[in-house]
Amino acid sequence: MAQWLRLVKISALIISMLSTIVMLSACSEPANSLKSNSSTGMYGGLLDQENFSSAKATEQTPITFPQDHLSHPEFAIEWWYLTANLFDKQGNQYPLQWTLFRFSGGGNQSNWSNGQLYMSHGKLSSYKQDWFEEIFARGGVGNAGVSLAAESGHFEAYLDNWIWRSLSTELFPATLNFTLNEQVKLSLNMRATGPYVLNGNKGYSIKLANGQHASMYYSQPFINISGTIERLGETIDVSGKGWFDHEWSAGLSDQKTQGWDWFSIHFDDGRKLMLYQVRHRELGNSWFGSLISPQGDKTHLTKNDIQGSIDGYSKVDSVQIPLNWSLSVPQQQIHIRVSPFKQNQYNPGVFPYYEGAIRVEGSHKGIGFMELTGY
Amino acid sequence: MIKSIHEVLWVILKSYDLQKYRLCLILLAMIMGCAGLSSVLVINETAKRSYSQTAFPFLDNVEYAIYPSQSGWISKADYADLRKNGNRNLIAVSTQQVESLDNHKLDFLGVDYYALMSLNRTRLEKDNSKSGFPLFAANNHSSNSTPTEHKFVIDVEYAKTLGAKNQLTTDNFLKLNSQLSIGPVAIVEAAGLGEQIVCDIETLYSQFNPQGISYILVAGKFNHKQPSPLQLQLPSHLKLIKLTSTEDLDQLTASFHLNLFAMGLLMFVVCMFVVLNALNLLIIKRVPMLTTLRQLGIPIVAIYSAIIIEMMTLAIACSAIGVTLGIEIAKWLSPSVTQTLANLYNVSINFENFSWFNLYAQVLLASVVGLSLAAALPLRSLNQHLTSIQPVASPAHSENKWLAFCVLLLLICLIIYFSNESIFSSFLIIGLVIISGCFLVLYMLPRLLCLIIPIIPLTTPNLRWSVADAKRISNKSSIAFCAFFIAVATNVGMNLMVNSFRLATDTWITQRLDADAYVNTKDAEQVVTLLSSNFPKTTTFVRQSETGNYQGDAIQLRSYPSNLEHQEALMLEQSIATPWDTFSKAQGIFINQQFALSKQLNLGQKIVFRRQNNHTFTVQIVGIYYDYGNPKAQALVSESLILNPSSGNQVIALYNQGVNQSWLPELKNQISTQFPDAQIVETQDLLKRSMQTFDNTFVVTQGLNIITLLVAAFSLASSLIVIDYDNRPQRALIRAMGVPALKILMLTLFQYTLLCLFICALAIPFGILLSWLLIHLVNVQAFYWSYPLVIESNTLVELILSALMVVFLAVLLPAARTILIPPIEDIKWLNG
Repeated sequence: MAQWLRLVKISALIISMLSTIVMLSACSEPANSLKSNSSTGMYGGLLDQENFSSAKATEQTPITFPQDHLSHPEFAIEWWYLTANLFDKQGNQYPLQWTLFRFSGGGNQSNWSNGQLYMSHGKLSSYKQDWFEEIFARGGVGNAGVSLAAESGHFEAYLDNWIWRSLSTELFPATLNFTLNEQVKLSLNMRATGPYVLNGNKGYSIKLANGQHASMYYSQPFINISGTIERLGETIDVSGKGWFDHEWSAGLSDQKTQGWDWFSIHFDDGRKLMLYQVRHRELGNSWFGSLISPQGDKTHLTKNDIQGSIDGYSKVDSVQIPLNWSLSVPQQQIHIRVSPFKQNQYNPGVFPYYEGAIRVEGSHKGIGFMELTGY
Repeated sequence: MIKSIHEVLWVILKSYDLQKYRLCLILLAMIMGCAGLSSVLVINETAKRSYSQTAFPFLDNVEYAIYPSQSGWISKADYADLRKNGNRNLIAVSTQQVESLDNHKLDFLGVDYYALMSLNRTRLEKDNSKSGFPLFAANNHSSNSTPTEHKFVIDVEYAKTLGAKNQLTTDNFLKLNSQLSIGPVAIVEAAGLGEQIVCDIETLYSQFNPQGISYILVAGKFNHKQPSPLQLQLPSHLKLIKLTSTEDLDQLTASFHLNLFAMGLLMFVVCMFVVLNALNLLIIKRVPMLTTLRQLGIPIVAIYSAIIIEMMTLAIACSAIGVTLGIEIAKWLSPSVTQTLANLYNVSINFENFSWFNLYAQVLLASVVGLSLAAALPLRSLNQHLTSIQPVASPAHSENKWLAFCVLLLLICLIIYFSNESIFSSFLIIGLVIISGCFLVLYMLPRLLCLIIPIIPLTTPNLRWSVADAKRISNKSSIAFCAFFIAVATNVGMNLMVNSFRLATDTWITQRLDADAYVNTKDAEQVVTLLSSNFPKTTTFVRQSETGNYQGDAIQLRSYPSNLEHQEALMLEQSIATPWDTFSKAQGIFINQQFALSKQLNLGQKIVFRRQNNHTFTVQIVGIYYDYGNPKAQALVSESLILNPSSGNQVIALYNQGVNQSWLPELKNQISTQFPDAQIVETQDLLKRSMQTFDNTFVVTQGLNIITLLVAAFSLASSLIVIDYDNRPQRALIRAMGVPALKILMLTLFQYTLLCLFICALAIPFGILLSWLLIHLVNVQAFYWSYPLVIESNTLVELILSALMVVFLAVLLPAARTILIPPIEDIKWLNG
């Protein structure tokens, strides 16, 4: 009796010790941790690990649906990324993020796991508050994965009780349920109103200017979301527009990659714009993007089509981050200024980054999201 | 008024020049008391904090765990389902016991690293002071592993042990056998980690491939009042179990800490007796000075206020010095204490930083209370002196009241004994017994002296006077003699307890280890074959062992031969009429006292065990045996019941039938050559080592015993100085009659030796009673086992002689000092 109790106690001790370590790595000096990560590449080198891939993104491999909604374990990195700007009946804005990351664990398989690692980020903001949570699991245990459900055969992406459950093998329509910090419970219904958009060249998206790194990348920018936010016993009905990305790659960056800036914008005229800048110590900065018509027709944008400049830095969580931008796509007469919905939208995870809602003004108005990493 | 107080204080300060010795005595006594108390508080506090850290230092709470309803394992599917249902506070743990190079068992603990990474931060405490812990690597990037990514974590003390056994390499890899090393290992200072090797669950699966999850921890607070969603979600084959871990550990170690605290408090109390004596002396010396102050018109309130301020200042200063000293003593003692706790309870503790101010506040409070109590009597006496114009007559003593108090307290003890069974009540009884002993001393001492006086021949008037005067001294120094009584009685009690324990352990271990040597090996069959061919005169018995399960709790299962020699070797507390018949038929088992008492099992009862391979067997309890010092529940089973142990080494007992004793070195040589992993232990070595460990275990309590005795002797010595003032008329008379100084010294020493001898005589029965209480009440309540009380006259004689010697030496100096005063000084006193 005393022996196993002791085991339990000691295990709990170690757990707590390790929790603290994780906490420390997550909480203490996030800026420094990211800066130090830069020596081993983005996300602590997690995105550089081509060694863990048995496949590589190529132009010759077309994206096919619904198969490619599922997981690609032969690639080192993959994510399913949903951002949305939700509003309640009073017009209060609630930016939302749900992301499921998958990383290959280097082929280390055992009876415990299949060598795949999952990390999920969930976030809800209001003007006054933020709820962010980060959870982890190994593939093969049974509590994380992206697959067709055994009983229904429908698409399912889950990590613990954060579950995206579709009504078919397609991504949409679907429900998304997750809780944040044991305080906020989100129940969302998602419906796509337009086609998927294959970014880059039919989904083959080159990340670095030298063409060394690329991913398979498609988006669903036409998502209508409705649902509820439960908080402190109060249920808030919300609705809004969402943007979904699914991307997989053998490696997105190298050790000289400093970070990237990503923007997804819903213009009031119904058009969508995705812009992406990679910052590289040797290759310099390079932009690419997609301009999508209300009907879903995509115009691929290269660095020659895009002009981006930083209007101002702000200090967020002790880090100087460029929160105000001027972005132009001259050929399309788009000249916009991007500013954050609110200043502090920093995600304080193990690998901290800025992910938050934006306001768009200038030649076109709209709302959207931006992700700023590596600062 | 303030001006008056200030003036009195100033006069008191000036008087220090004339009272250096007395002041030093007070300061020394107070510092000693505070140092002793604070060192004990530090030891107890840090140890208790270690236990709580052993439980859950950074998590708000881990009170529950999920276990299989029956024995066995939890599946990954069960775990995943529970997590998918929203129980993100669950953490899978898998355990594995592995036999290493020298047959030492290594306990691995695999934790779901990713689950704990997902723990909501609200479940974690905010104080993250343990930033020094290195990160152990989740078993992800084996090819990418950097030197700082440790796969295992062990405690620094355990690392030392493993290092000494060559099981931990210099580059921090664990050697499992001569071919396989695993690591790297992070070595951390972690309270409660003990002899556990912690790793990511993935690492554990990769390395050892366990059959499943051993248990699932439930992190975070839990609603005790209503069935939680988790309880409702649990399938029938899983059960939620409350972990009373911290409480368990507290209970287990409570007696040690209570013992330690009691000894510390005792030391403090004895020191306060010294303070009392010294204060008495100080106040008596001050009476003329304070009387003059009164005559000068200083209000009595101002005098008292000034004395109280003086006392408080002394308390504040002495507590500070005492605490600082006490911390150093605790640090100095910490290795012994750590060793004791590790040996006794298999827990390791850390002497970490603790709040100096908290400790100081506690000790200061104790000092103020102690000083107030100690000052009460002298101040009362001062009050009589200052308020009365008549000489103060000593109140008539009614010694019968002491007897009445003594009887009353003993009656209360009996009532508590029969009405309540808890460690607290046991210690309360012990405390009351000691106090009642003090009352008995106050009652008996004058009477015993009265009995002696008529026996002394009239031809030795000096001796006769000396004994008669001793009666007066016993009244004057009653407090110091009580302190001495307490010290002797507790010494007798503790010594008898430890000696009984030692003797019982020695007898038990010698009886149990009846073979000439033991071989621990994985290759039992081959070793037996080798022995039977090369050493035909050596008989072998292979002993199996494994960890079984009874009602969800781990039980040590050991096979036991049923031949006549082994039957005699087993020391039974109780058994059925013919236990060995049932046992040899594999229908009966012997269980240790700990198992029987903790599970309230009775002789003849049938119980169901589950083996590691999940097979169950039902057996009858045919006997309960003594298993001193084993903190774990154990059962001895017939060899056929665990013929094929699930895993692990086997022990071969070797009995030499031949006359020639040179067989052992040769046997050792052959086995170590052919079976390098085998470990051969000679019984004599094992016995020696066991008893050494035993003796080390009681170093701390023995040390405190001696210190208490020394303090008591110091108290007596100081009392001699106190009553010196009152002795002067007698001494003046004796000296005026021409008795030489040396003879007076001899007579004084005789007085004290006689008094202390009487006290020792009274203390012995109380000490025996204390040891009986410690063995049969405290030990049973704390550890679920007891042992026979053995009273060795040698021990008692040694103890009494050493106590008398200490007193003799302590009293010698102040006694000699008094006779060094020129006779004229004493004789002058006769002139007033």
